Amino acid sequence: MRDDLTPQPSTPAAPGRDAPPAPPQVAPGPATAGGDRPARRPSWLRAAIWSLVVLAAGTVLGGAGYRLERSYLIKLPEATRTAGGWRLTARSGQELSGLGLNGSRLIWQDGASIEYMDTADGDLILLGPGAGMRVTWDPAVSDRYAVWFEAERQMSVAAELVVYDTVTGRRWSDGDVGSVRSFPALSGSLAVWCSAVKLGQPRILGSYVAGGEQFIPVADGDGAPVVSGGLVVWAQTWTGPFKAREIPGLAAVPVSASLTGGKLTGLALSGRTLVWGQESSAAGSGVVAAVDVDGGGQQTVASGITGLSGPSYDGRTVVWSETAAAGSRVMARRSGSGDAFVVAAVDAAVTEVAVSGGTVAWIQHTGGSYEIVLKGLPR
Amino acid sequence: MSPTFRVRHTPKRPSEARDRLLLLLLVELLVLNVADLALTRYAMWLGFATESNGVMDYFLRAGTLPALLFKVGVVSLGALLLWRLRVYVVATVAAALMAFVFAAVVAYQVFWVVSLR
Repeated sequence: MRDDLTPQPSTPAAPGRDAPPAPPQVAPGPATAGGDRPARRPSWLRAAIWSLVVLAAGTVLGGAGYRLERSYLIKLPEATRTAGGWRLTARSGQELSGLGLNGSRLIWQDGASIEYMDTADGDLILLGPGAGMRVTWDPAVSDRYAVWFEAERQMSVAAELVVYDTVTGRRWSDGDVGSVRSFPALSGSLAVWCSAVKLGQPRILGSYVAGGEQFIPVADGDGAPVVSGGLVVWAQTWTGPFKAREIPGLAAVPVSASLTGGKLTGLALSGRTLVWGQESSAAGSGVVAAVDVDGGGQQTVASGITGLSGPSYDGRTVVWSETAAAGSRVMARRSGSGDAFVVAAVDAAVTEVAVSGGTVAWIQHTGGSYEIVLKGLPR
Repeated sequence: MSPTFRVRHTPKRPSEARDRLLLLLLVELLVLNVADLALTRYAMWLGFATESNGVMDYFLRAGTLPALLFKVGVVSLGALLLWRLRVYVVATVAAALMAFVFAAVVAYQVFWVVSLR
């Protein structure tokens, strides 16, 4: 701090001709201004400027710290707008997974981070894990909320269901779910999942995340449920069969589907239509099929697929990916009529797909590099 | 051989100009202090932050008003002390340093909260 802010006119009384030299003046008298600089009067403006300089310097430091943290510690993906949508390139070096798309809301898992993007404006937000948490599981997103699990460690018996409200920007814990047995699924404010609150007793559970009510015990046993409205569907094992129940009331709904025997690659539900993929280890054994849970006939959406990933279904379009001669193809077929068509052919492995409205999203990786690509469906 | 102790006296240097600067820095400090609490409370309400300072955490759990009274009280006491010591240059230096650090903390919080919206 400069001390020469002090006005320092020094006008000591002139000593008499024969008097001894006056002793140097000490405080509280004004000091000399150093050298021959002219003295300055106290100024509120100068004081205000100096105080604002201090504020500005602190603000610059805070801003630089924030930028540094975002660049080197958090490492959100780099989002680039493309002609067809968006391309998000991971910078963390971690695997991207758990892709969820609902309207303009896009969510995914990046290593242990849960990340979110509103595709309308391209803003990226780091949602989790929260303080003290180190492990997360694949998230899900609906037309308003996003949900995922967080825990202190992988084998935790006290994972938390975390909710994010995309409208208010708030996140909160909806409670302790015990030991996680499946990823959550979400429709509106109803989340469903499988977890073991009591050791060795897995259950399909549900929760209205906006209300903070108690968990709804949907059914006993294992499974990875999906939900649409109040309808909850899950496969009892990796090869089926399917079970379904309605919330509220928990009435059982019979699902008659002819499964091919291969391992289920994905399950999607929109309205009353269930879509699934199945594939064995044999090449060309992949099948994507759909059935109306209220008793409609089963429809084969696509067959003879190798390297099936997905499917995803938004009520209008079924999307999946398959291995091609060079890389992968993202495929789609509109429900009701029409043939399957290629959305994109990529020189990379596609691991997950999602569809909502007229937009398809997928995760592709080449070597150690992961990308999320969003592309509009052809009309 | 006995050690020789020398007591250094900080010279008093009263200055009206420095008093004005100190006063403005202390006002800024008080404003930044309230802004820090408001931003912390907002980030906690959003669910993205936890208070890592145990003492403040205790008061924040008791409510926003107790936290405000404690935080404003402590900083006001410190500001009052610095004002009483204004004849010393170090009082102004300390106020400037605290305003600088508080400004950095508040700026970081503002950037962070804006990124969540």
